[in-house]
Amino acid sequence: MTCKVLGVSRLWIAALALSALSGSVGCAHSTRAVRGDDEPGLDYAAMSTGLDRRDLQRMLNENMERMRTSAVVQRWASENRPAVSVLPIKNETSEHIDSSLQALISDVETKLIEWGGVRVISLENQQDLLAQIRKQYSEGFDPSQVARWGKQIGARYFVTGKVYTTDERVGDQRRVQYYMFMQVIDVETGEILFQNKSNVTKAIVRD
Amino acid sequence: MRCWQRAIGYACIAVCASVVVGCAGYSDRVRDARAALDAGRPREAVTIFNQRLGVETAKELPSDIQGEKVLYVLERSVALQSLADYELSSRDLEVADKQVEMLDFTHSTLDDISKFMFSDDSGPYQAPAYEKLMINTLNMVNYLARDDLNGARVEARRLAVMQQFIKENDPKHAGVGSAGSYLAGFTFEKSRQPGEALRFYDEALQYTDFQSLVGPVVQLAEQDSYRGERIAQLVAAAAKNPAPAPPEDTGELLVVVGYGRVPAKIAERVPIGLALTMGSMYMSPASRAQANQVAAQGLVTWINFPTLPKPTRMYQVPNFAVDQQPYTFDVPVAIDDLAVSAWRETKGKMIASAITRVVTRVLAGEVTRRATGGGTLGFLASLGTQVAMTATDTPDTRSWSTLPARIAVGRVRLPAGQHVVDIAVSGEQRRQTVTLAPGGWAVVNLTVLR
Repeated sequence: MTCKVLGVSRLWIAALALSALSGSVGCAHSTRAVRGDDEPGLDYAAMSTGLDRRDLQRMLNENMERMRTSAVVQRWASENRPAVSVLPIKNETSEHIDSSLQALISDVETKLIEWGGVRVISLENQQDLLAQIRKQYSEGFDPSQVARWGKQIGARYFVTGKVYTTDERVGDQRRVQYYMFMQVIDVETGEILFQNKSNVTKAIVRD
Repeated sequence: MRCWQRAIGYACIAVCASVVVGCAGYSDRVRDARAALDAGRPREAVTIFNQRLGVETAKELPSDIQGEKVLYVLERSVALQSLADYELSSRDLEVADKQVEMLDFTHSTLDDISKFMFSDDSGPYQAPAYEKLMINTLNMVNYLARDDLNGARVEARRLAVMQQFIKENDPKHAGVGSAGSYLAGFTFEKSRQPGEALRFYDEALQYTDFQSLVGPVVQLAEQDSYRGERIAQLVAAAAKNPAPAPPEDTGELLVVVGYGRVPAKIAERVPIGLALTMGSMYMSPASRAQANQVAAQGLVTWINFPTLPKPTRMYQVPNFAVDQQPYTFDVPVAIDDLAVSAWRETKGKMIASAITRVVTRVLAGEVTRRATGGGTLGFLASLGTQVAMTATDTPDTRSWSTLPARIAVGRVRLPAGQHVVDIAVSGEQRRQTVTLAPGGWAVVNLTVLR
């Protein structure tokens, strides 16, 4: 009986400890798909240093709110619904956020339509020109092209923007500060009639 | 059967089972893929990496990129680049880039302890500096080959962040990114950002003598006032023999070739005496004394640790021709040398941790023997403990083993129009037709992983 109480149980404890030890070296995970509505806070949590929907909406709303109360929108009110087109937002960041910025174009167009006072001409149906504009953006913006694009599209004003980052990594932390600039450009003169900046900071920090 | 005999039987089964399920090292798990690449079958290598990742095709990523999976994703990305599947290669590199960064941040003291206690490859994978910089370098190739300056600029900026981090925290490795700096400079030059381009070119020239940069640097210097040390030298030299500006009806072709593979780590057994000679300076005096004692008693005779085999291969210089006119590459950047020097720096520490683990196993066996009352039962339990701990201890042979050993760049100014580019490297040839617009550019890549 002594054997059962002491020897064997000790042996099993040792074996179990070893199993636990082996288990701790490897690791098992289970994953599942979840829906934002069912998982409170899912859309709220930051998953990376990239821009998520919440960040983009925040920066966009801030810029658009400023634009709504700016002199250029008052000017539009006196011009009998001038034609406005939204050009792609330039990605000058250290994150691959082009597709997110692409999605913002429709958001800007929606806001402009909601405000009324302008006719919004979408570039969606002018894919060749859109590709040309993107290439031009990619190889360095040439302001002299603005008037030509305006004529081609039939727009009096362009709304556009760019996003920059200051990206730093120090020790076990990375911080990315985003700056989104939005502009309204007079197609004929190339003059910037409105410009505003909004910021978002994302980081990976050690708890 | 007596109770203790039955118990020992169960324990032996448990121990044997853990030996059977005990993991082989990383290098064993990618051996087949490496063999496929050696045989010039990158598609087969991709299939093997897919299996390791638990996915059907290279279009898929596992839902959970934990543990070694981040390395499989990195390995697959280069195999995909060699198949000219630049889009999927980019996707893999971007996902892995984020994961490697997170692994760096999540690394903890507990991981270091477990490395010393249980297994060399326990804990998250920590990529050496050259691997981190190669992620962005190879991804720039992917974007440039697709004529996508936007994507290449993002990678160039990410490279700059990492270069800065390495410069501040690990200055002796600051030069490992010269190929990346060249590509980043090219990216900003073609994006018409001469200042940024000059900064990157200055960085590239600091570590590698890229002759093909002389002309572009002198032209860029006319558009921007940035004068790093190397830029100033080139500009001063060019002032003595001014070259005419390139004709407007020409474009530039950049050929980027990756060839060979960095050496892959393998597990090696060395006698304890030799291991102590190599690793003792990385051990505390107490651990060293303990290890010497265990070795003197003959309780440990061999140490198992990861090593890099000596590179035996001489790489032939690749060549390329445009419209059958031969051109030369710049001096290639030797990524394999970076891998070897990174390994040399960690070798002593790895041997020290291997010795510590072996000593721990012996001591744990002794504790078990005493706890189980000694005798036959104690001996078997002690043996079981040591076998089980040995089964979970695998030398850390993790590394990004599909990285090309060399990266060479060649650059030619050509008349605008269509050109046929022929590249020959490591017995493989590729012919590609490119069309250059006046003032335009094109990047042609060939990656041969053997």
